[in-house]
Amino acid sequence: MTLVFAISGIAVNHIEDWNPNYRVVHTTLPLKGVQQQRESAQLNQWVQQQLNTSYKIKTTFWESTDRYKIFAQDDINILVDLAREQAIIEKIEVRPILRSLNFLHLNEAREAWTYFSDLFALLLIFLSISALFMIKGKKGVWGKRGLIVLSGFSIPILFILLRSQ
Amino acid sequence: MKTIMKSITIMTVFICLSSMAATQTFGTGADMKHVTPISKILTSPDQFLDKSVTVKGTIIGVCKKRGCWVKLASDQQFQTLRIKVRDGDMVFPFNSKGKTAYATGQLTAIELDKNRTIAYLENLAKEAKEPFDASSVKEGMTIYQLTPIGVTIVD
Repeated sequence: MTLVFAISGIAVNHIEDWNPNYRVVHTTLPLKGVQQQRESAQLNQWVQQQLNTSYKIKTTFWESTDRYKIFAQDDINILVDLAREQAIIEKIEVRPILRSLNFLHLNEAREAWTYFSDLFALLLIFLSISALFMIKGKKGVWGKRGLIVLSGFSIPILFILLRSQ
Repeated sequence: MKTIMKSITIMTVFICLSSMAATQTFGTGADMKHVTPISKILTSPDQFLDKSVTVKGTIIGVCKKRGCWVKLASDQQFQTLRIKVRDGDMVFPFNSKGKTAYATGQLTAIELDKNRTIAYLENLAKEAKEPFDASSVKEGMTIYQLTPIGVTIVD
């Protein structure tokens, strides 16, 4: 459980830089002559021929006069940009282990998982507080080792003072 | 260690299988019996404001980072409606694009002043990798979105 929260914690901390649940690959390819196919009933077929693909198409959508989206099976999508005469093929793959860890960490499971993770959190609280009082005397929390505990508080407090609004 | 690996594998397989399920339900699930076309709502949105409605459409976009919104294609060309939840209330899978979603909830209007309109349109243009001229915006605008209590996604 600690590993679940720690690994997922690192993954979602960097959500601004990457997608922690899915691997998304974009491939841009030229699509010369697509402007002339704008009204064609065979547009999907023509695009696939040009891209040398044979994806099984689920549905399509005209997002604007120059942007046509093709959604295919196996999490493949094609954006046809008529103005630039190019296609962007998007392939989405689930990151299996990270997706599972994030699912648990971010409590997407809800219901009983909420109570189970609450219990785990309570045990962690007990573990951290009880650890303070396990060693008595000079080596205990009231001795020099108390400085280590204080240093543990100092970094979060520093961030709160400097960065929180 | 073997037990931990086994548990992780079982959990991963379970979550992968559930994410591949033909129907996915979020919140209460949508009331799929009473669907109002998106075009009808967007033609006269004031009639539907703060009322419970169900819409249906192909998912053409999903929030990349937190899965906190999906954009549904309307029954009319070029028209879309965004279904938006508070972060974490529902997490829409990024690989839902191309699937059909039903969403039941309340239509809300968001009034944007001129500056927020510029920021909003600039962001849309950036996503579409299209040029944007801020001076073309002369006044604020209103955008409509649905805040759902239940969403059902079918493949």
